[in-house]
Amino acid sequence: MLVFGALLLLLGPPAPLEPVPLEPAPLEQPDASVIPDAREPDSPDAPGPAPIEALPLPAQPAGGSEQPLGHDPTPAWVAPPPPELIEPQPIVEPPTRPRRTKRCLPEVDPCMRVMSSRLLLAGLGAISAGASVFLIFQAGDRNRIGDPAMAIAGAGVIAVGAASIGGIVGVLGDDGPALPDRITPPTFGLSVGLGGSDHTDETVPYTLAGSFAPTWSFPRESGRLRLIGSVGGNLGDQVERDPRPQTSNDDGTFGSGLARRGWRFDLGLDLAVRLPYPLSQRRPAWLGQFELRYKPMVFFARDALALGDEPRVSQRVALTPLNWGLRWHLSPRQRFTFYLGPRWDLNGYGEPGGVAPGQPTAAPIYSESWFDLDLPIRKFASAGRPAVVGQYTVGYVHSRFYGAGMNLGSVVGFLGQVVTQFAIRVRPLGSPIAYQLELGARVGGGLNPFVRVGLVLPNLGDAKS
Amino acid sequence: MTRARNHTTSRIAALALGLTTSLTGCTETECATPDYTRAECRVVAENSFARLKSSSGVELRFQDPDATDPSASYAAEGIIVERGSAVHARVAHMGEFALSLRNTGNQARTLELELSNVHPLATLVASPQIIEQPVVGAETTRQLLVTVPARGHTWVRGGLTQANACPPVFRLAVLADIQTNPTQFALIIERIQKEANLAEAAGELLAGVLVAGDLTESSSEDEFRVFQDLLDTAAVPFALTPGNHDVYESHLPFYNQNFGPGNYAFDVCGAHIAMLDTGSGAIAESVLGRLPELFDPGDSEHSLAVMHHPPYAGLTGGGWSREDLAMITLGEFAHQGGDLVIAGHAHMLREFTDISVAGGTVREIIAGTAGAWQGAGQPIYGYVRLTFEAGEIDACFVEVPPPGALPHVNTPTTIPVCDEA
Repeated sequence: MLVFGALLLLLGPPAPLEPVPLEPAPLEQPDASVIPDAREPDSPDAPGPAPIEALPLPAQPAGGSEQPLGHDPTPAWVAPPPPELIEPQPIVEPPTRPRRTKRCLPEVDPCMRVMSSRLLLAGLGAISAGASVFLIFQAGDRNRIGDPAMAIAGAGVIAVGAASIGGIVGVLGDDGPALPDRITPPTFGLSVGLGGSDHTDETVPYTLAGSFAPTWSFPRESGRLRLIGSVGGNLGDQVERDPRPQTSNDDGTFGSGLARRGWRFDLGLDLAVRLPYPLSQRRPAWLGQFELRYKPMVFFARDALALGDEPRVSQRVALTPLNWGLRWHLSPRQRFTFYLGPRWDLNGYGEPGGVAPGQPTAAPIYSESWFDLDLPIRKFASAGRPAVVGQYTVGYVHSRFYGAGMNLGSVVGFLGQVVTQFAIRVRPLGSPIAYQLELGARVGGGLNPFVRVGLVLPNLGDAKS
Repeated sequence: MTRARNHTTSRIAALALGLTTSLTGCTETECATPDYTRAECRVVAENSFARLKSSSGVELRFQDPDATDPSASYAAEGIIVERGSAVHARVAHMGEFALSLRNTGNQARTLELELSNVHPLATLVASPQIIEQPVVGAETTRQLLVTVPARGHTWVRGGLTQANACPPVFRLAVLADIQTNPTQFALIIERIQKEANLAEAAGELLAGVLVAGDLTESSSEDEFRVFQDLLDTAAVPFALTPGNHDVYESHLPFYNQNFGPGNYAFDVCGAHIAMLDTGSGAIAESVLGRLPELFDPGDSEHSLAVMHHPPYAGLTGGGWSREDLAMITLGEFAHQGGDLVIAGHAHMLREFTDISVAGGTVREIIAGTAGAWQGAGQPIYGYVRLTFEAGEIDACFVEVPPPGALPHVNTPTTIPVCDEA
């Protein structure tokens, strides 16, 4: 898959042989007025077709000298007969095609060199993942490299996957320009996690959670601040049986071993601030917009337990107050996001009514890596029906707070979860409210599917709203 | 047209609903189709290996040390197998043990019973139906001739407490993660023999060794046999629990077949010790339900929990796959007044002296130093010596350097290097 993706990446999207008319800057691109001229003729990095100054001039006719005759040193009697008048034939060379890594994405302004971006992301991802795995095996457990290395290795794998998937989609022609009404977390959402057990007399309840994500857009599309949170819990008790034959019931069925019912909430901020694009004004690389991210979070989980006949309450809190990140717009429709920060836990436990909350304790590093891919649903849009956009997301969350982490062979207890989802947003024509449906799964200790429906309201401070 | 389409849609919806409902109804009892990489299936296995109906018709059961009814129940506190004319019973730990032999036949039976993993100083409760035979070789093995009366039963009970062999100060050795290095582990076993002698010379007792998993690299039968051969030379009993490297095999529970249970608790010399099988990155949820019972210290002065995956991982990188279960386990341990968690998995020596949980603090030692590869640089191999004295548990590290290596002067954590004695 990755090799195939890499091959497609090398093919890259077709480059236009002729200049194309420029479209207005897409929704998620920075204000074009602050971007310097991307087609500066003396710039060695000038994108697109070669500027007219660089093309060879037509051949001058032989008699077209502009020198005055009186300055000719040749005697008149030795002067050759006048040549026949020949119509000059201009020599027109085809416009040169820049290297694939230098090509700007068509119909996108300012320039975005998506192939360079993906190759760089894939390279950085491969180096990060490779170096982390090398360190894990070379430096070993003794040097306590496992926790940060696993977080970075997970991000590296997502980065390589993002470049590969993005390259494939780019070759198929869906790289840009940016889609309007790009999918974001719904302002208000309701999600259901599937339950069910394949063991007799045991139950794993469905989960229900409500979420919110009101967003305040900053002026001039310079960023936004989002309040994010969710609250939910089990729709019933989880019941586990004690499979020891010697403790089974009189009728032979297994006795009850564990009953559990829990609820959760999380609350945080998600701040995104655009960095200047291009980052370097003197030598712009045109590798896509970067955003600085800051996402402090509080996670809370409380479980009411029946351990045999003993009632207990487990109450866990995780804090990630220094969770910083970066988002990279690989193309107008593809983004890679990475967060990393320390985590502190407060672990409370006890009998009902007597739970001591615990003191903050250093916990494993928290990290998230995401790849978002916007998918146009053209069929509906072209029919004049409500605007419909889609988005595929895959990510790695280096945390096992809310669920089981992945185990790969002997790598047990080191990894977090992989999350994948497909979302679709439907906005009726002219409506300020959109409807969103998300189908996804968390992978780790099994497959845990979920579905979320939500309403998307206009952002606060958004002039367009 | 629209009506026909609605009809088709309704049929598809009904089919999907029916399929979903029928799949939901497809359940089976726990581990009816076993997968021993799952912790719950190993619970079933460890309990099934704790009883045996021998070819002579005598049923043998490991029992709770306080049990009195040989037919009421049994407990996963060892493994019983029949080899040739003898029945072999491996006691899982160095605490008090009880084995019941019940004869449902009309004739009395005499069994050759080989008990292994029993402390050399432990004594058996005297009974006219039990005759101890002299043993050549392994110090932790007893050979018995046990007579079971017709339609009757015989109990074999023993332990250190029976012998009043527990002095005021006693020791336990703890370690984990042998994996690819049984050669180094053989050196450690030799050093443990010396430890037993040093303890005896100091008027103390080395009660046994606690191993927090990863006895093998790939959980093959051959590796377990090599490990068993090494244990046969040991001077003291070993209490074991599996690690993730010991439970790779999904079709056969090799760990349980060779060494018995991974989830059990016992008392030795005033210390209550709970062993938990976290080989799958978490304990079985049925074991979670038994934690109040497993962690209950009773009258014991000290309480320890031993498991492969550290419930508090800190920044080591190697924790449980399920943090929720880890914190419930740690919380219940703290709630029951637990003192010390012993773990491995991370191939390092570390001590966390005060993990805040449940309003108190718990101490955790990671002792993944029994031979597994530790990374670049000179490894630090050996075991942690725990000394129980006057209500305190002192920890120090006994280094067993590989041949040709100089011992470390200091350890990389707060645990000091032990004095020779």
